[in-house]
Order: sequence, then C-alpha cells, then structure tokens
Amino acid sequence: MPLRTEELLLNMGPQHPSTHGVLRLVLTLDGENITDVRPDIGYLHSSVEKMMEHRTYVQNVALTDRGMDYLIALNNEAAYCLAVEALAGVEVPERARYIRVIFQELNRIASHLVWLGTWGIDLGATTVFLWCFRERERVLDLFEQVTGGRLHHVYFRIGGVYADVPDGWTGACRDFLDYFLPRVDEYHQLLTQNPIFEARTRGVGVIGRREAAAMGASGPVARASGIAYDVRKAAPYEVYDRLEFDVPVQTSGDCLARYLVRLEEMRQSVRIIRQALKDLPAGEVRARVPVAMKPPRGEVYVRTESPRGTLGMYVVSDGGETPYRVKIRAPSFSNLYALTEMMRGWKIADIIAILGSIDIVLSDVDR
Amino acid sequence: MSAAERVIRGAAALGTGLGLTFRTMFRRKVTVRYPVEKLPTSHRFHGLLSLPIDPETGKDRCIICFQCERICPDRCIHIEAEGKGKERQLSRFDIEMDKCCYCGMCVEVCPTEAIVFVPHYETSTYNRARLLYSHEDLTRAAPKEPIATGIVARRRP
Amino acid sequence: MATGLPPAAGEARSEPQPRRTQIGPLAEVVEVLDSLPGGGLILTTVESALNWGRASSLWPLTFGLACCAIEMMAAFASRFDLDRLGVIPRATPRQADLMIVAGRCSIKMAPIVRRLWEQMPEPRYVISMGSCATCGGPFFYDNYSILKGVDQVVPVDVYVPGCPPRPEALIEGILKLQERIKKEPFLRRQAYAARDGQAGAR
Repeated sequence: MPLRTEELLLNMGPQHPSTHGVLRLVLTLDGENITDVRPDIGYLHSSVEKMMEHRTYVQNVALTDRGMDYLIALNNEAAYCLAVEALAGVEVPERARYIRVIFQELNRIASHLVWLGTWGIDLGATTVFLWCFRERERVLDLFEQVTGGRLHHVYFRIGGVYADVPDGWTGACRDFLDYFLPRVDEYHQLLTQNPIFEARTRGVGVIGRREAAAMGASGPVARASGIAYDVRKAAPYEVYDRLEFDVPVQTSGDCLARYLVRLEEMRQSVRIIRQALKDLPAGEVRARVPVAMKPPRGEVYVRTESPRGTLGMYVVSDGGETPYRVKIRAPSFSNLYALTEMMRGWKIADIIAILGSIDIVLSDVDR
Repeated sequence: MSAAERVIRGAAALGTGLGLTFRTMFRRKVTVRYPVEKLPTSHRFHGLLSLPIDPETGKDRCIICFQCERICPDRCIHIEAEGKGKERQLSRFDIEMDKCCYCGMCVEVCPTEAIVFVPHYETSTYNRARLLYSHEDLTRAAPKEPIATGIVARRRP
Repeated sequence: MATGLPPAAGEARSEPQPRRTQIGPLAEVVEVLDSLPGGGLILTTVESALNWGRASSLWPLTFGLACCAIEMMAAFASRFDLDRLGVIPRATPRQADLMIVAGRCSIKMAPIVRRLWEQMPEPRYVISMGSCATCGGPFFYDNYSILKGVDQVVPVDVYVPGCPPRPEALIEGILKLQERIKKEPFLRRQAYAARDGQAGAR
C-alpha cells in the first residue's frame, strides 16, 4: 500500500520566546521540511503614524522613540528630526550634527549587542548573552549621563540636540571604546570557530543578491548578500561624508555572513565615533526653533541608515501645527519580506537561526 | 575534510572558547547586588517628577503658565487655577505618573524650574490609583534639601 | 444539547461538584487545626514557611511585548542578575507563577495574554511593567489599537511605573510582590476555597 503524506500546518508564536517579539509564523511543513512560511503581523500595532497627526511637531519626537523601533530610539529621532528640519529649512549647528552622529553610532552598537545576545541564546550560547548585555550596560550608562534615559531618550530636537554633553563625557566615551573593541574580538573568538555555531549558521538561510534586492531587503541583510549599499555612503546625511569608514560586505548570504557583517559594523562604528570625537567642534548645540513651529506646506522624504536597514521618514505638512501625514519606511518590515525566501526548504530546527539572523523588531514591523 | 581533521579542529575551537571563558572568571565582577547596594544615577536621570519648594517663599515656583500642560505629549499634567491677577493660586496640579512617559519636555519648557526630575525610581505600587500624584505628593517627592537653581538652565541652549 | 435552556421536568438536576484541587484533602486538617487552641499558631508557622519558599522562587514567564521587555532582559542579564532572588525565567506558562507584562498590549494581543495567564497554575501573579501596560501610557489618547491598561484582561498585583522602568525598578516591584506573598494566608485560602468548591486562591 502506498503511503500517503499530508502537509502539516504549524503555528509558531506570537508569544514564542525566540520570535524576538510578538510575531506569529504559520509554517507549512512537509515532514520536517518547511515548504512555506506566512508571517502574521500586527500584534504590536500601535498606530503611531496616526497618533503623530494629532501631536505637534515638537511633541512627536517623544513618540518616535516608543512607537517605532524601540532598540534604536536615537536613530528614529534623528530620522524624524532630519525630515522636519528639511521641511522647515532649519540649519543645525555643527557641533549638534557631530553629537548626533556619535549617539547614532553608539545606539547602533547597543542594538547589535542586543541582537547578538538574543541570537546567542537562540542558538544555545548563553555566555554571549551575558557578555553582550555587560557591554551594553556601559553604553546605556554613557547615554544616561547625557540624555537622562536608558532606552528612550528624547534627546534630539528639531534644530539640534537637547543639551550639550557634560564635562568629561568624551573621555568616558573614549574609555568605553578602548574597552569595547577587544570585546568584539572575544565574541569572534567565542562564536565564529565554534563547530556547533558554524554547523547551525554556515550555508543556512541563504538568500542571493537578486532575491534580496527584489524583496527590498536593506541593511546588514542586503550587505550579507553582496549588495554594497549603505545610505551613509550613498546619500550622506549629518556629517557622514566627512568621516572615514568601510561598508562591510559578504557574498555568501547565509546566517554566518549576516553575523560577520554586524560584527564588522560594530568595529566600524567604533572607528566613526573615534573620528567624530576627535573632530568635535565647539559651539552651540541647538538652533532657535519655536515650540509651536509651523513648517510651510510641502512634503519631504528622508532616508537614514538604521542598524536594521534603510529607515525612511515621509512627512507631509499642510502648514498647520501638526503633520498632515507621517509615513515610516520600516527596515524590519522589508526584511521580513525576505524571510519566506530564506526559510523555504530548510528544516524546522533552522527556523530559529534564520529568524534571529535577520534581526527584526516587531515594533518596527507593526508600528 | 577528514574525520580526524574535524575532530582536531573542533577540539581546538572548544579549547579557545573555554580558555576565554575561564580567563573571564578572574575579571572584575559586574553584578550589582541591587537592594543592598545601589548604583548612582546621573544627575540628568529622568526619574520621578516633582515640584520642589522654594526655601525663600516656602511655596513652589509655579507661575501657572500652563506651558507644561500644553507641551506634554501624553497629556498627563492637569493644572487648574483660581483667582485673578496677583491673587491667582494653584487649585490643582496633578500628574498621572502612570501615563507619563518621562520625556522631560515639561522640565524643558518650564520658565521657572518649578517642575524638575528627581533621581528616584522606586515607585511601584499595588494600586494604580496611587500613581495619580497630587500637588502634595509632588512636593513630598522633591528632596528635602533645596535644589540648586540653574541645573536645568545649563541644560538649555 | 442547548445548555442555556432550563432542565425539562423529570430530568435529574446535576449538582455542581466541588472541584478537587491538589490539596483538597488538606481542607479538613486545616479546619480542625484552626479550631484547636494553639492550632492557629502551628498553621501560621507552616504558612510562613511555605510563603517564604514561594516568595523566594518566583518563576516568571519569558514573554515580552515591547520596549520594557528589553529592560526585563537587562534585569535578567549580567549586571542585575535576577537569578539572585530566585527569579528564573521559564519558557512555558505551565511552569511559571509570575507573569511580567512588559510593554504595550494591543487589542489583537489581549486574548493571547489572557490565555497565557489562564494556562499558568495557581497561585499566579502579574506584574504590570511600564506605563503602557499600566494604563496605555503614551498611547492613551488618539489611539485605536492599544489596550488602555493590561488590567482589563488580567488581574494585576504590582504596577511598576516608568517608560521603561529601570531594571532596578522592576526588581523593586518583584520585591514588593514578595512582601505581599509572604503575608498571604495561603493555606487557609487554598483549603477553604477547595472546601467551598471554588477554583483555588484568587
């Protein structure tokens, strides 16, 4: 008698501990092989774009922290402030632009550390989690001395930053960078040559250059597939055109490549911060902007390079006190698109490794 | 790669990893035994909001300009005033600390530094209604010693 | 059968059976002890010993919703190390007795939070961490998708304000919960609940 097989529908999430938030995956399985993946999103939809239409331009800075990607609050603030500044024609002082770059790069380090730690837990490497959070606490201490917040800062303002860095902070920041760079090598030493780690990541979840581009992937996911695209190089904002850094690119497009790209990005961030600290000019940190600002009618689209990819901010003004419309181009959402392509054909045990490697934050996907 | 080669490579990788782990054992510990020892917060830390008492007048510094109420993105500050002209007095100054997002915009716009952050974060309660801080609660939350003026001003451009 | 209809004449009316919890047989023992002179003292001593054990091994459910989950992870990580207090995260609700609602809960997520809470064994506790879980926080006004406080779906024991709270604030909330657990008349409540046919404590 011939054996009859059936496809199995498996529901994963939304409270699964390794889905990095509240993502639900509907898996179609043939035995242990994945034939199709359907992500079900919207469990963290916070309607932030709609809320922004009801708050003034100044108040909205507080919302970009929470409503969008919560791991990279400062990068979100920067994208929003750049958009409104372009709309209203505000000139940002030089010192504020350098400070913004320093803080965006520090936040990139903090975000990648959270990613590496949680991905390590997914793959069974608990030590990495503890070590990454040890270093991350030091970044958060640096943040707290300047912004007053650990995760949500509301530090960037339209026309600059809230306040200048306190005395001695730049020294503390340099100390941290000196401490941090050898730690990246330690993660490399601990994970990259580990046979178990390699077996779970090398060649797993491959997405080619063409597919990645077609799916709209950006950031480390695209760069791991050989697309050397970085908004900081392609369309420099703030002062990135004056700073030297490399864009790490890998060609294999698997989980290991995405991991290596992010490790190298942390090193490059350290390099950028060192240069910015050296060149930090003196002067004002904030341009005069009225609290009830009314940008002229018009629309603007600004893109920045967030740790997850291209973060776009589209703001329409009708001349009033509140934005007429705000649309966020979320990098995690586009990267989630590529997930189905990556997972098809792999075993059920590889789901966790692949899902963790694209580094999505559900608050960014759902907004 | 032959089996023997793989075994040797695996053992070497395991050796490096474990060696690193053991070396870390002798580094300084980072754990803070929280309830016993506490980390100092920075002087800019966004903790609880409070209305400090001015030692000269014995009252708070609020001039009832409603700027904090207007700027608050969460609309969690409620101010009501009575009387007219010089006789104007606060009749209500409530902050819903459960709704507050600790963004610091009220502290920024206040012209007299009447509302400030205090580095106090241990405020969990069994009852949500106790998170509605009235004027008395907010003045009680302020530290006993007078807050040096100018802390906030220096942060402003 | 339609359950909402009144029973037909002649059909035997089934009395609701008292639900037997695990310590159901203890109900008589507790009742006898409580009535004896000096028995209350023994009961209270046993109770405080049990409560000390329960308070020192609160196992939370590994489950985060939004930003506060990152600070919750930081509380479990190297600097604050919640394992010192016996708080060890469990991945399944069946082994957990504390649920930390970390972050904003959307209306789509609310039934799932409720189901997770129902899957936890009794006695169970809930900590609402952060402004969003407590009352909606920054998402209270002009919002159509966020639940205005997670206490609309699950009973909350301790509210930790903050946006997000520092890990220390979360630890302080857990210590507050431990204080409350240590004062609970745990045995009596369980025993009398079993006797009266209710579903355990709470």
